[in-house]
Amino acid sequence: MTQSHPRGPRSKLRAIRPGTRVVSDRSEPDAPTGPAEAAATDGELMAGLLAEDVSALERLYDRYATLVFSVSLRIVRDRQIAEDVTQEVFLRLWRRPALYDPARGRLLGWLISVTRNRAIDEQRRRHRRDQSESGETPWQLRAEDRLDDPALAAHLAELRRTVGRALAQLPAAQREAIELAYFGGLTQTEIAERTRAPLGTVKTRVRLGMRHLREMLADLGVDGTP
Amino acid sequence: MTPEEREELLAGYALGTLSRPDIEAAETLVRTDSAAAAELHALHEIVDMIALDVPLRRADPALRARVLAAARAHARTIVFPRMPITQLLVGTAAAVAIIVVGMWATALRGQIAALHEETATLSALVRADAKRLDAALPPGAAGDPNEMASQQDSLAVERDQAQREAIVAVTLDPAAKSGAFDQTNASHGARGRFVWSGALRSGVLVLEALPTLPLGDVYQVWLDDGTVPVSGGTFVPSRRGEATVLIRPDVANQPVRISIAAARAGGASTLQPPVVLSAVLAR
Repeated sequence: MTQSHPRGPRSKLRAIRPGTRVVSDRSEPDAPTGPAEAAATDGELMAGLLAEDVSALERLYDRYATLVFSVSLRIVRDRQIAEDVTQEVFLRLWRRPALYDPARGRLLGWLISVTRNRAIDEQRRRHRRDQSESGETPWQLRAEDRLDDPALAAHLAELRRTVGRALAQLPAAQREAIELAYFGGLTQTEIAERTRAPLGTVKTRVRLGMRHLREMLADLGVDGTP
Repeated sequence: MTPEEREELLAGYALGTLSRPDIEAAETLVRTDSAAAAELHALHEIVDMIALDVPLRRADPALRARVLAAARAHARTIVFPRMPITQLLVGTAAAVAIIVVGMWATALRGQIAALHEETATLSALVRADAKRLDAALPPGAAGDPNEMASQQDSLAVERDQAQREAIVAVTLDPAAKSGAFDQTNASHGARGRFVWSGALRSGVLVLEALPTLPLGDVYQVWLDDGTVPVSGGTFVPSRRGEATVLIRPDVANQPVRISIAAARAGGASTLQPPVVLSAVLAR
């Protein structure tokens, strides 16, 4: 059973704003050139969706589809299913744009949450955990390659590196528990069975892992404040 | 509860890794403890960022064209009962007939009694709708299919056909759940039944005696998967408060509750009380 929750504002994701100056090193590909002022905000594009403007969906797809697809693929480990989930997520946004409440956080956070829930549901339904994404990288590209907002692209790239560093510093058992929960959609009981660890140990690993992650992200400048 | 247990509960809840009893405990904690709610909010921030660590892969470029083509082709909302009622009745009657056959087979699994009750209810409602239609239509209109067809454009016909097929599909699903709505303090005599197909993620609601709404207001269907209620569309009942509603909501998980509430024209973005009818779907 997938558990998802009413969400409060996702301040860090919400804090990404076009035009925000973000320091980005050269390890990530360049964002597209062009003035940041020319890029429509997520809010403007969502208004376009409400007016049934397909070009708004087109731009949102270009902005977030790679990340949505990547999250989905990480969970379902099947390219076709991941594309199905991606399509469903964007069509859901198109059909019911009012489902996204801007007061509760940034669109990216909402998309990730919906993608994760849908992908976990799909994964459980189809029981394809044994499939691997290895060898399926002909389309491997950067997420920001088609992003029309350079500031957003740079901010996302920086945030990705920061989160990657924080996760990499977690003790292996804590990281495993968190990843099995987040990407595998497993309950703590299922994680205990999978890792052959006592349930209490799994609970402790999740608790400490989340605490450490929060502390490390704070140390790296991501403190969750708006 | 020790501080560690509290932290474990909130961390597990934010990650979506709790079992059902713990989920309920966490939700109770968050509802009753503002500090816990703030802590959960902060944990959600962290959880959101975990997704950013995924290795980036790009979908097949053809997917973009498929998504946009589907968006152009798809009508966003389904509002009932805008379809010609004769078509709805034909479709519903066909569904009921098929249900009867399905019940026979289902009886082999010992469920015939419950499905008989469902069929009887639906049949009675269809008969009542047919009588109402006969009374409402001018003489000769009901028997003149050409005249009826001339009143519809081709798009409406296609839409109605799709809706009839969807209703039939829902009622044909042998695993569909059905039951009666529970009344609330705001029901004022309203009642109804539902059939929900988990496989199709669609449902059919047959509602009666809904309270009359102020001009311009509508009823809105809400589906709750245990997280946030999601709109299943709006509808305007007949003057007698009757409606048959097909719902195909965009819910991530299987809903556990269906609610009917009044809303302003166009529907609300969040479920607003009072709830007129409510039904629980056992998982």
